[in-house]
Amino acid sequence: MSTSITNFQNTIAHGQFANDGGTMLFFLPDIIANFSFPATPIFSKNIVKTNTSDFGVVVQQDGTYFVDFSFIAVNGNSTTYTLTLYVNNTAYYSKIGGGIRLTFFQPAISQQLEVSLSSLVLLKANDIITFKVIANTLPSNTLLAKDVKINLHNLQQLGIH
Amino acid sequence: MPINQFNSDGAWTQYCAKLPITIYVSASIGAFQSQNILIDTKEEWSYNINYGKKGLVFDLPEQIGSLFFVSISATFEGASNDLLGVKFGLRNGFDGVFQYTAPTIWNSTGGTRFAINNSGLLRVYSMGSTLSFMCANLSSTTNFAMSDIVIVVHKII
Repeated sequence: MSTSITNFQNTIAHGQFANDGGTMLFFLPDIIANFSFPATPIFSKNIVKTNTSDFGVVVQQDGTYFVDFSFIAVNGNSTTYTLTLYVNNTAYYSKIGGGIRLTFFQPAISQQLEVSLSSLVLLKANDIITFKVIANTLPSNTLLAKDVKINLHNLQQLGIH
Repeated sequence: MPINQFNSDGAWTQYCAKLPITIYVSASIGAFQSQNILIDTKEEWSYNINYGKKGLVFDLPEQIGSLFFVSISATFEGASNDLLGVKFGLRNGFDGVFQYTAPTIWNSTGGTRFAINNSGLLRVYSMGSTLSFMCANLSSTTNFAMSDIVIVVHKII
């Protein structure tokens, strides 16, 4: 009698991470900034924070993930910014060629604006999700990202919950 | 369809509804009161405003361990120089603790309309939990209005 082993793939993955945020440091020549605050898990399963100082997470299961990222933009006046989702340090593009990014503008007055980006992202286990902000010009006063938050859940969840 | 019909639909149920009405809120730091809450009866909203801190409150009679993705978006028309925000969470009765507090917005010019979106993952830790949506003016007692409310609840587990 042959013996067979059934490999059960558990794809359950979800998580919520946050950080109070802080200063966005833009680096030349691309005028690009990382979210240099570690992602603190509020609760998560099969998604962990990266082991760097940047706000990023590592998924541990394959799947199609709903990703929701938001923060409050403070200061950084009179400058246009583009928020872009990165997978494994490469800007993420959908199969139809559209980038998963969002452009926002900080007016020349003291105003705090919510910036939020949601998307479906195809991911493999151990893929890393991070975000970057690119400015069209170097802002005259520093942009702050406050109340940084990400929610993710794998829409292809299987297995024992 | 009220949220408490989740049970009859089983897993992978999702819920989306819109309140095309305006809720006028008289706010103060740490506590606030809702006034003139008008619920569109066609949506069959289940709500409870009997708590001291008022807001949209829904029964969530799910079993322990259920996990929900929840989001709310709304248009705010606020006063000058106020921090406004939406927060939501699970709570057990009056003293329940919110699991998540929303971001805040600085509305620098009076009368400006702007949108606030907030979302999160919420775990049911005990029976009889309710799902509460609240908005608050965190910096003054000035009234503000909230309209075009859209709430999405998706049961993950």
